[in-house]
Amino acid sequence: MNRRKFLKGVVASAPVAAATLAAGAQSSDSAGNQSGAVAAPSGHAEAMERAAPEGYTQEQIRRYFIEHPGSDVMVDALKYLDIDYVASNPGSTFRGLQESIVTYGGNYQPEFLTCLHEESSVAMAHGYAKIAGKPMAVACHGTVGLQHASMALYNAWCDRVPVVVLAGNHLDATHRAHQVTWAHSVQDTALIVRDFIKWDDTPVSLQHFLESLVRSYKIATTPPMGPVVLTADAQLQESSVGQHSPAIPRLSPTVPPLGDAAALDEAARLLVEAKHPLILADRVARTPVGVARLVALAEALQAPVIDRLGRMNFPNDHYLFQLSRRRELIAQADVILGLEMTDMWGSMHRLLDLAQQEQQNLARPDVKLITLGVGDLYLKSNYQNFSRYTPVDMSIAGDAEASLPLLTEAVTRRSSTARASRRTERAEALRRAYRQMRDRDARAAKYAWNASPVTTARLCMELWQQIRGRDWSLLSDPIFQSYWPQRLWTFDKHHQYIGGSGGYGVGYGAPAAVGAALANREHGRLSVNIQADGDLMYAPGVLWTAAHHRIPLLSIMHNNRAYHQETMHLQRMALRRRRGVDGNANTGTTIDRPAIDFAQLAKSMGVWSAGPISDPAQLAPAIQQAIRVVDSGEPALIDVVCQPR
Amino acid sequence: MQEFVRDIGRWTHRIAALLLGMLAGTGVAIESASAVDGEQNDARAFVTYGCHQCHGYMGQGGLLSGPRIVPSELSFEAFADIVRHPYGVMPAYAPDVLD
Ligand code: HEC
Repeated sequence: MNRRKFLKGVVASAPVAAATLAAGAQSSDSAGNQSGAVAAPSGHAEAMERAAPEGYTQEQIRRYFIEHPGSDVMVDALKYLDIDYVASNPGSTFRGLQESIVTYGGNYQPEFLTCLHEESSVAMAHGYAKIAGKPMAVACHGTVGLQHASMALYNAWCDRVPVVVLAGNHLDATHRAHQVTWAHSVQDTALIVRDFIKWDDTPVSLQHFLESLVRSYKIATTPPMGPVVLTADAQLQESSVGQHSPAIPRLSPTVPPLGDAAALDEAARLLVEAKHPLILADRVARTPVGVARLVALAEALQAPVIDRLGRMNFPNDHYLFQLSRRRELIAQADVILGLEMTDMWGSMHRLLDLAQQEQQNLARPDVKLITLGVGDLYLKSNYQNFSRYTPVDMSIAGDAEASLPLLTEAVTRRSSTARASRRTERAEALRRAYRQMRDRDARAAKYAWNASPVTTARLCMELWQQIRGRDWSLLSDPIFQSYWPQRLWTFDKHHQYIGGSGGYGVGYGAPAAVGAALANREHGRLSVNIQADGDLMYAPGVLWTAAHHRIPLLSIMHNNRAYHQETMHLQRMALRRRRGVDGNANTGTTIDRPAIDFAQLAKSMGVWSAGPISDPAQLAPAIQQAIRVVDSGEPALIDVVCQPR
Repeated sequence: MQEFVRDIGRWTHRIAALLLGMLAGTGVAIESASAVDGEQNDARAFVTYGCHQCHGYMGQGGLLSGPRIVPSELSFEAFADIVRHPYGVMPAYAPDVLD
């Protein structure tokens, strides 16, 4: 079989992998091979076909050349897993793999993405997975690369997003040629990140590598998802496969766990009997199906939804979307259902940041709490991103997106016609409250409309004016823009929002947007990113990656020339200590004097740019121009000097 | 819209006047009061004391930082009392820092 034919075969069986992240992985694979391999990778056959180079003795051939290197098989496996991209800073510990990707694999599915920092590679993969619904691979040194990558891995871990990291290493000490190789070798590659990845392995044979790669993919894409690290030893990559070609084991995607039927039925009973049921949703919708399922549940109950915005869970033009009414709805609710919550306690309480910490309970003392999600199924101890322990009345383990139909069915079954009038009344009141909420939000956006620096509301509205009517996708977390997009725009599609960093590690924003924009590219969507200045400066080189790979993305800067959250913290500290108000909070927190010229920065890396703009009247024409650039397939950036929040 | 902006101007002025009233007698107040006048002056007081960090340069507010305080229906007394003895997570401005 020639290579092309083989690759076609591999690619044809690949969609198996994509099914894992799609609607709940109901499908099994198409290869039908119960226990064995789907394909014997077989650059092997081709290698056997190749004639020996002329003009060399056998000994010289052995000295100079390698036929059918192990990394070719690794690429076969990446193709089998339907991995379209490998984001990477090039590095010697995986030079074999890189060469196989670009030459043997034709640099296509996977394509090698040139990154300028491993943190960018991982954060790109993080953003990408949330749009593509499947992981990207990252290649890096197991030592210096993984250290750079660690921050971004922590974010992906906290955000429960799959990333497959291939970490190069030289385990065998006798193969470390010189000091650099020694410095790039490690006993236990994944140790440094093991607290915040889902799984790792250090394969010592090619067969071991293939099995662990498929396993790592399976683990990464099973909810709760997460990043995985697989060591790709340099010797495995660079040595010849030899006579016995290893086999890629078949991927068997895991069907996400459903909540227990009896428990869901009891939850339905509580919700149906409630006078004021309330739904909290955090990372519910893994796919578009999740949005439809949550709408069905909310409608069946006529219960408002407070979206914690971990993902695009619920359309904000639906009257049950009541984001800005969080406090009053929590205070009123008698039964609250939390779906895939990252911080249930924090939703129910407020811990006031005062000299003497003060705890406020936001919910009624008699409220009944139900949680449904996979959070309890997989935890680690060291990093505390699991949030404060919350006693609840029912804690149901199960993937929310997959379990919702069962719950909705139980709700519908239990919804007697006797209660219909109560639901109708509730619906009417919620419709009214929704309209008032939207009006209030719209009015709030108008304050200081013409101010300079530009208000975040104006920034968001100017952007919205230019993108509405298009197939757009917002790739940034609007937490620092007062959630204006969710309060003012219309979100009705899953790909219109992807949540935030997860771990609040700064530096996620720019690369995640570039990665997600790459996933949007094939759908022709207009990717937009409201970019924080502090975040961009962590690793601005990702702008170059966007230009180099022609990734269309409109970045509009929320440039407040500060790590503004920290400015507020410092101000708070000074006031608590009754001293130092006059500008001291700016020391060490502002990014000014000199102000960074982001337009020049972008331009220097081949990205079209405009700004700095501080007059809001100049925004519309600049955004129009930038969109023309993005429509031509290129990234663009507009620097806007903005209000702090 | 223009009327709205004028309104904002008026309210910024008022907030600042309130602040300056509270500031009277401190070195900072005298310095900033004599340095400039009109709205610039108002904004300066607002910025000097860091109100803008949480409430925005125009007092327009931010969802997770601090509510809109311009325009405000609060009386001088109520306003001053909040700055001294705030509710929720607004930090208290003690007489040491704002007299
Ligand atoms: C560190 C952030 C911060 C700073 C600095 C700050 N505030 Fe506030 N302020 C808040 C928050 C937050 C609230 C609302 C409290 C809550 O809801 O918990 C508030 C509330 C207020 C209110 C009440 C608004 C209303 O209508 O109820 C006024 C008035 C106010 N602040 C004025 C000021 C002034 C004047 C300054 C400067 C001298 C200032 N604040 C500085 C955070 C801040």
